[in-house]
This record gives sequence, structure tokens and C-alpha cells, in this order.
Amino acid sequence: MKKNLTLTLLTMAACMGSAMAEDCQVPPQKSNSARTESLSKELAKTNVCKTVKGLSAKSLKTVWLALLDTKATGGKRFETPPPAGTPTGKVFTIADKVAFDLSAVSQEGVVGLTIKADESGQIIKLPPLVAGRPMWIENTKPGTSYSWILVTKKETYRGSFEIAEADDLQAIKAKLTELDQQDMPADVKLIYQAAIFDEADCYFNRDSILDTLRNTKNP
Amino acid sequence: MKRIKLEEVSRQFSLIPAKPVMQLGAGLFALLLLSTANSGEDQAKVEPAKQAESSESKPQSDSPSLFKSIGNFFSGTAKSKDAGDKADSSPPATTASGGFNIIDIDSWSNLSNVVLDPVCKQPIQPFGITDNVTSLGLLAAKLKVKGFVDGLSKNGQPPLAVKDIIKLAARNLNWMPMDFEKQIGESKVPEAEVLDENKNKDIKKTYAQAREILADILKNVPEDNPYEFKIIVIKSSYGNATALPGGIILVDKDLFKKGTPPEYPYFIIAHEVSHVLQRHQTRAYQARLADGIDSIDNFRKLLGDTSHANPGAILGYASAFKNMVVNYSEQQELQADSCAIRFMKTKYPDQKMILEKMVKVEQKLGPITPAIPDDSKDPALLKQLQFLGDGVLERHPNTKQRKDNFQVTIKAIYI
Repeated sequence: MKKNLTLTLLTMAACMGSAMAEDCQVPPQKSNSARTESLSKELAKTNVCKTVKGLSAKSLKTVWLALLDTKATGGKRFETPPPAGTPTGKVFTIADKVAFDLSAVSQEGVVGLTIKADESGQIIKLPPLVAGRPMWIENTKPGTSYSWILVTKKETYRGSFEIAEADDLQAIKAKLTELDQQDMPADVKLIYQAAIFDEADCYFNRDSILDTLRNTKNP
Repeated sequence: MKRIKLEEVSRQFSLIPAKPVMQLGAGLFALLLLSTANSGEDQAKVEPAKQAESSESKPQSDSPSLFKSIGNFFSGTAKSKDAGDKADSSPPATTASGGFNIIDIDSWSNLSNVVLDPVCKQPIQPFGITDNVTSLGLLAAKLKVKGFVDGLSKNGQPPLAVKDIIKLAARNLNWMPMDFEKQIGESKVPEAEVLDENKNKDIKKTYAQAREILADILKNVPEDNPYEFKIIVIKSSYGNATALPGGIILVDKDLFKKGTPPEYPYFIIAHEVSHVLQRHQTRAYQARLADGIDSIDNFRKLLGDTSHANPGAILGYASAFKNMVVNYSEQQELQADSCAIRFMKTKYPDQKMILEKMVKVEQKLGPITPAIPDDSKDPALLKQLQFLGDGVLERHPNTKQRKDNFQVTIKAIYI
């Protein structure tokens, strides 16, 4: 009886340990790319629970999946989606600035970009477009939303975004600061940042980081 | 969820109900014609390459009146109508009744990549092998009769050989197995982008609103269809939706954003359901297979033959490829818009009302931007090849094209 009880306790402890590992760590993933596999191993060494308070391994796994997603055309969309680098949805800002990176459509020949503040209807004055550099929209305010139209010689794109509310901005900043204090490889830190944005529904910020990772790491 | 049978759909879409027996009889008669014609194959032969060149990708619809009558007899009505009329108000040739979903193809093309029913007279494409075979039989019989009539009048093209008729018919129907279509759909779900229904109140509400609209649209779709329609809300904020083969509709999280008129998400989801029912994705794959294999083979031969390997010829092929893939994608989008309007008709039967609703949809489409003059000094060939090199395999019609198509469709349905 005593022997059985010990065995049961040992099994329970093993199970709990495994569950904790699952909740706090992302197991290494196999990949055809050596770089990706190496990044996955680095990520697996970290413990989410000890790195950023409140961040889950589930978010890290989701971001990892998104990173590997080739973004290949699948299905029939109602409209052509906005190009990478153009803000949509809820956006986290640094120093009240939002970047429009038009490099994805530079080959199409950019004709014009118009941004309008939804509440006031005011057209935002934009700096001249410099090839290869993002265009910064300044003095944005938390909770405000904007609509934009981008015309190229090939297509007309449109989208809208809203700056996260002040409370959300504060919570995201706190997590990013906590992450910044950790000692870990830069690329792993980027994946953590992307997971923080994914959890906060700031998918534009998440995708910008993933694009950077894709371009540098070619996963 | 209230669903209706095919006969009711026929009425709702102003289709003429036909007796299944008549359908079967027509199909069998068509197959009989096909088999008897087989013996005379040699004398009926034409050069398929020449035929393809002469017709390009334009649908052929200039049928003689006798031919039209026969075609309409097969579809259960003797009323004569112009097969290629885009803005017709007469009942469509589709017959759907009692478990059969057979289409009467009243115009056809030598290529797969042509949308033959731009105003969506036939909202549901055949999905079963029996339906496809019967539809094929109807088409084959019509083609044989057309050839016979043309031969008598000495005005038309020489009649097609049976093997070419089958090839042509196969290009005008979707033969992809439904299981394959569903598998493609499931494999295309972007797992990392799916939002859990219980994530928060807003996401739960978006799921509920999208499902409510889907259920309303599906009241017009016969319940004995093989699709498993379901809504998945995704992380994108493009105010958009995406259809995956087999019935999966991916809805952007902000489709029901505050200030969006209710007609807009309704129209978008109806548009996506139409992509599924028209089997657009698999049809596009099929077109790339059916047309692409021939084109690539000819292209290879052209490059191999040094006497013909000139930029002009290559440009011709580049244009053909562009037409094959990109323009086809635009045609499918416009057709899905037309089908969506037909779905909206059941909700807003009054023409004045639908015009008001469509104005709200149009306002959400964005402005009509002026046409950009093509001032590039690049040689045309280079531009064409650059375009192909972009890897852009689909393109959407612009707002003006969409608005014009709305008008044509509304005219076709209501007037």
C-alpha cells in the first residue's frame, strides 16, 4: 500500500513537472533550415514563466507558427490585403509615432498615400517619401483611429488602424521593459517581443518583427 | 437552421424547375449521341491547335437558333434565349431539382480559365460525379448538334472530334473530387492566425454575428450539398474575409467594426460563400493544370525552335500566362460579387431596396482612383516578365469594375 502511494505520488509529480514545462517552455522544433532549427533550440532553453510575467508558452508557440507561415496565397479573399509594413488594427506606438514602410510596394510605383484621422476627419500631413526609408506619422494619440489609402500604379490599397488605449500601451511597455532586462540572444528576444504583441492583439507590431526575423534569418 | 430543398432554390433564384426524369433522359440521350458519334470520329476531326488559336479564350456563344432551342429543351424549357447575354432577364439554364445539380452549359471556351457565367445564373456548380457526367452529356450533345447544323449550313467551323469535345467539356466543368477540395481547405487554415472564440467578448460577438449571416445565406443553399460551412475568425484587421475550398470562411476580426453598415459584412460573407459554391479555388487549380500544361509545353517547343524564339513570340506567351492566371482571378471575383447580389435578393426582393443597400456596400469599397497613365519606358516584354516574376497569382477588380458589375447584375436580376 505504502509502495503504491509512493508510486502514485511520483507519477503525479512527473506529470505536474511535465505540465509546468509545457506551460513555461516551447519544445525545440525540427526544421529543414539549420538557422531555424538553431533558433528553435535557443528558444527552447528559455523559460517563459521566469522571463516575462503573465506571458504564456502558448503565445510563443503561436508566434513560432506564424513565423514559419510562408504567407502563401490560400483561398479567395474579398479584397487584396494591405501590403506588409502598412499599419492595420490595434497598434502599439513608440513616442507616439507610427511607421509606414512602403518598401513592399516600391516596385509597383507609389503614386500617393493619404491618411485621415477618423474622428476629426483631418488629413494628416505627411513628410516626403524617401525611397528605402519608412514614413513616420507623428503625434498620434492613444485610442484614436486612422484610415488610409495607398495608390500605386498597380493597385489601390486601403486600411485602418487605431492606437492602443493608454492602459494597454502602459501594460505592453511594462512587459517589454521586463524582457529587455533579460539576458538572451537578440533573435529569441524578438520572438518574445512578438509574443507580447500577439497577446496584446497588436498584430501589426507582431508581424513587423516577424518580417524582420524572416528577412534576416530566412526561416 | 432552416434549410430548403433544391426545388425551392430554383424558385428563389428564378430557376426553372425541371423534372429529374427529364434531366436523366436528357443526359442519357446526350450520352447516346456521344457514343454514336464516336464511330464517325475520323471524318469529324479538326486541328485542335488551330481551333484554340482562333477562339483564344473568348467564350463561344454564337449558336444557331435551332441549337438554342435544343439546349433549352434539355434544360426543361423550349423558350429561346441568347446564350451569351450577360444582362438577360430570362430564367437561367440551370436546372436543379430533386437531388440533381446539373448545369446546362450554354457557352463554353477552349480554355478552362474563363468564367462563363458572369452574372451568376447558376449559383451552385455541380459537385457530384453523376452531376458532372450528366452536364458533360448535355454539353457534348449540344456540341455535336452544333457541328451538324454548322456542317449543313456550310457556314461554321468543321465539327469537333469526340475526343476534342470531351477535352473541351472537361475544361468547362470542375472535376476535382470534393474530398480533395475539402482537404485543400483544411490544409489552408492559418493556425497561428485563428482567434479562439472564448478569447474575449468581442471575438465571441464576431463569431456570433458572422454565423448568423452565414445561416441566413445558407437558407438559400440546398441541404443535400457536400460542403461543411464554418466560420473562423482570424487576427487580420483588413475588414475582409476569405473563402477556403470546402466551405471554410475566414473572417477578419474587424469585419463588424463600429460604424460598418450591416449590408457590408452580409455582402462579403455572401461573396465568400459564392466562391465556395462556384468551386473557384479548385477551378483555378484545374485551369492552371489544364491550360498550363499545354501552354508550358508549347512555350518549351517555341524556345527550342530557334527560328521562332523572338521577343514578340515570348511576349505573346507572357501575355497568355498573365491572362490565364491574373485576369481569371478578377473574373472569378466579379462572378462572386454577382452571386452575392443574388443571395441578397432573397433578403431584399425589392429592387429599390437592394439599390440602396448596394450603395452602402459601394461606399465601403473605397474611392474610384483615377487610372494611372503608363508612362514607363520599359519594353513591354520586360514589363510582362517582371509582372509574372512578382509571383502575384491573383488580383482583384478595382472599385469601378466592381460597381459596373453590380449594375449589370442588378439589371439582369430585377429588370
